[in-house]
Amino acid sequence: MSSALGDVYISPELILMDIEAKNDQEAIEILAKHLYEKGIVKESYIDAVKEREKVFSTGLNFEEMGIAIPHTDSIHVNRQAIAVGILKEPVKFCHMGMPEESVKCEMMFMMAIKKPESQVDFLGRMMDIFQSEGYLRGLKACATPEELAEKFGKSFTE
Amino acid sequence: MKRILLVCGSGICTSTAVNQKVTKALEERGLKGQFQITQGKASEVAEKSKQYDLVISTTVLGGECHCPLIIGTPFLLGRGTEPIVDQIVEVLQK
Repeated sequence: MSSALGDVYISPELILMDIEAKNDQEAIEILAKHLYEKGIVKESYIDAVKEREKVFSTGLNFEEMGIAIPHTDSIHVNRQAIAVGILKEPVKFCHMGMPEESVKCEMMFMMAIKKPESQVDFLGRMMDIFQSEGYLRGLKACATPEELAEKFGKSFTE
Repeated sequence: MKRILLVCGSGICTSTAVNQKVTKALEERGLKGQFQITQGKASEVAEKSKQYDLVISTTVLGGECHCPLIIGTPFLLGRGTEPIVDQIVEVLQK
């Protein structure tokens, strides 16, 4: 069994099920701080990912759910990982590439990527997974971080 | 050989994902070997786009683009891509 994830860490400890945030900046800060507290990213990641979102927005309006994939430069990252945050109420993000369009996001997939060249497969694969019918709804419906991490991690395994 | 510059904020993340999708879509249209894709940063477009036939971006550009520009975000969403592939093919066949 090979996984397109490589050494990208997915774990229940990086999943927040009930984020309460008024806006995208607040939502990003909560999840980024969590990544910092877990040692995955440097403290500088928090401001860097917030600033990057203002310039290069990351909302993506998938057919069944709006999500966001905030990320920033690898210099702020200690260990490759994806954190998942479920937003208690949808939060508006600007759409990637079309910032005049806003996306009501229900989940965030925050990427901490250190070696992008080794991750060629990974983001494209994740986008394919998100397109499959019922996937995002199913992920959001998970009852515990453990269940979500297992389901999400497994999707990358071929 | 047509040259495509594919950009995102950092030049490594979403541009990589879109690169795979665009390459596949163009090969399916029988254009294999007729295009070359280079990845870059959105901030480099103003300076570099003169050397390219087409820029595909997943993000907003800071500066001016000196060749046709297509927003490639639909390749990430997996829908609405056919009209975009048509546009790309049109540029490549000019």
